[in-house]
Amino acid sequence: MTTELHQQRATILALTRQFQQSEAARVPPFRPGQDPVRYAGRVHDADEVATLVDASLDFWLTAGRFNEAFESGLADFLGVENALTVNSGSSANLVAFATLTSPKLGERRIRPGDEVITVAAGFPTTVNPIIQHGAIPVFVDVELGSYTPDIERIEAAIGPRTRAVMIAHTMGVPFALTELRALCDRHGLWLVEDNCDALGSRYDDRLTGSVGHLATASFYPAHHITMGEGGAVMTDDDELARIARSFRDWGRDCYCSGGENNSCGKRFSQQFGDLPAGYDHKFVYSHIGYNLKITDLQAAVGCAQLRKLPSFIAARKRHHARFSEGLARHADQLVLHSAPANADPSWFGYVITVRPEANVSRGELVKALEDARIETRNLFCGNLLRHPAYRDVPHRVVGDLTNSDTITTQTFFIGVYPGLTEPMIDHVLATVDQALD
Amino acid sequence: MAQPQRFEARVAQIARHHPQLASLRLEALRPLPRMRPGQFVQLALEPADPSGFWPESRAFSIANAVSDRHTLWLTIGAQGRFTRRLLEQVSAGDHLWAKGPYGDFVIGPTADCHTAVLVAGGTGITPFCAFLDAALQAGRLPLPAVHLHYGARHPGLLVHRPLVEQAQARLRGLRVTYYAETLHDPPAQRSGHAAERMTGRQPSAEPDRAADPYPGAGDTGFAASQAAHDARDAPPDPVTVGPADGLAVGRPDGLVHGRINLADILTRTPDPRGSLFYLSGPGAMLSAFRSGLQRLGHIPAARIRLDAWE
Repeated sequence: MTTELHQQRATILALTRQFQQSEAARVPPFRPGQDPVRYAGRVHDADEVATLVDASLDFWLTAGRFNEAFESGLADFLGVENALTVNSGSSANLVAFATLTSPKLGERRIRPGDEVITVAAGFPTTVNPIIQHGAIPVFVDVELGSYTPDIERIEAAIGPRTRAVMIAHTMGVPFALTELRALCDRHGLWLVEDNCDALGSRYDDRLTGSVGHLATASFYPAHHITMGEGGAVMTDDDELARIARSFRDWGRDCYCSGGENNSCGKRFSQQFGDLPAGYDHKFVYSHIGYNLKITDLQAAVGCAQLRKLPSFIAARKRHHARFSEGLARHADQLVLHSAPANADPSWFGYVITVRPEANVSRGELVKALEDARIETRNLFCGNLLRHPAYRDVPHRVVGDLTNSDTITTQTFFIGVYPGLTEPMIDHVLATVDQALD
Repeated sequence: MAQPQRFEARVAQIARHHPQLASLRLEALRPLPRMRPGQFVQLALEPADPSGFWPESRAFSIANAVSDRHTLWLTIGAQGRFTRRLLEQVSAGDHLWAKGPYGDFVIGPTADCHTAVLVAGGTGITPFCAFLDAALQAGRLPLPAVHLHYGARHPGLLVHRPLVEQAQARLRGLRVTYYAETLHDPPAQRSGHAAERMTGRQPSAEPDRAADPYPGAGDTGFAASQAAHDARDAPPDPVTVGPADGLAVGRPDGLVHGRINLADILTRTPDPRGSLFYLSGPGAMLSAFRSGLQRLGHIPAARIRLDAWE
């Protein structure tokens, strides 16, 4: 790039920053009851906008330099070798599970009819890939408070056809990660961590998303960092990474990035299946794959967000702690959000289960909050098996799903995202006090 | 295979072994992805514009274990326009762009094979240097038995021999057979700096890791011999060569006199059909050895691994 072009680009980016800062300065102070308290949202400044414009000036569009920088940065943050971006957290779960069905894994692959242990109370796309690949989900219940399953429930669900455990660190609370990985290793099971809600959480001082054979992340705006739509698959296993990349990239065997040719050095000199010898490796398919890649524009935003991640995590912890402190006096009416002692969550939200003996129902409390312009959300789908789509899905339940049903009827959450301010948190707590007292 | 990355690296050192051969020590400007012995990188001459297309590049085997995630050793032999430019134009202190790692020429056991036979002709020793470097650092081989067959045109060109001998002394299960087509070095080689350079080298820490006497198309090594065969219209088929002329197992210098050849390798392999064969060297050698292993040794194709590029 010439010096003149560099200078022009710098001028454009400086003006972009100036524009964003001017726009941000126009946001008025929070007015309780009049302005919304979101449960989540984009938190950004001039860095994101300038980086996005920088990527747009490249006009590379498909995954390029920003994607490579983001994948590398995310892998470094988590301390894993491989991070592959995909276009959503749900796609990440799909790719992660598909990876475990690869014929390249031989006898270790998951086949139709094999069982995968998961939970009923969560987000559907943690479970959907299991069903979509003809495997059988085996549901266990979760605990109220942490909304993750006890290790004993999982162990009790292991049967002769169990091949994997695929569970989310729901709302940022790590499940018993160390113990579950050990359990999986003892039984020869794959462990997939759905880490979409929990980027930055730790268990036994290890980051979630770095312990399972595969893990996933989401960068939807409600999540810890965002690129609009986006997600990632993480693994420390190079073989799994290559398979995951193949599933993401149409199922092809070639591993050239966009715009590259012959990185393998043998594009026209290999033999695959029944193809003619030397068939162009760029068009050899070793999996029934998808195209789930992101654009470099998304990755550019992700790069700027990744730099803010430590401060975002700290803000989430701070806000969650304020809610815990403020709601403690209602513990007789509410099940407060909690985590195991050896967990250090990067909270996704503050989950509240209204006890049957409370002065109000969940519906009444939610209405009070929503009337005060405070956003609430259900804990995703509650008991998944109560939804129409799953009525006829082959599955197994081990134990009962009492708590999952309670979540369906009694539970909701409010936000702890970095965009909250102290006056917003004060307003939320005051509204809860008013509803319960 | 770890996620390949593009990276910029400083040329920290150039060891010129021969007008047509040099080893480059590259220091990456950021931590490198995990690289496994046997993998390679694509090295470019032109600066890579991160926002644009990848420039013209060539594949080079990584010759060390890259355990520090920063230091790469590569050997550059003059084989064509690109590599000649590299040798002529690159100086210590320059910055180059590379991307990788790529490739799956990774040595390890399978469910039913626990013996590996490594065959290195010419520059083909390079990925095996990375393998031995990693094994030395680990203190053991990744499979119980490994037999390395390492051939050069004459003894002075077995420049990686000190590393191989060090590995042989320290690694249980490693056997080595050296081959040299002639037993005497030409005067230039005897008095040259190559032998001196290679003395006392250590894994990873030593700067001569990638030293290799085979430019591949120059006047030394297997490829040159192959070219001579081609020029005479003789079938370039080392497989047809029987036990090497003047076979000299037990010579004081430990060499087998003759070209590295398949019949000798099969003779020295106790259970060929239960072994994995890793072949690395000039293209003609790879083709001939692969077909020979299948034809003469009845080795299944799946047990023959080639380090081959176009």
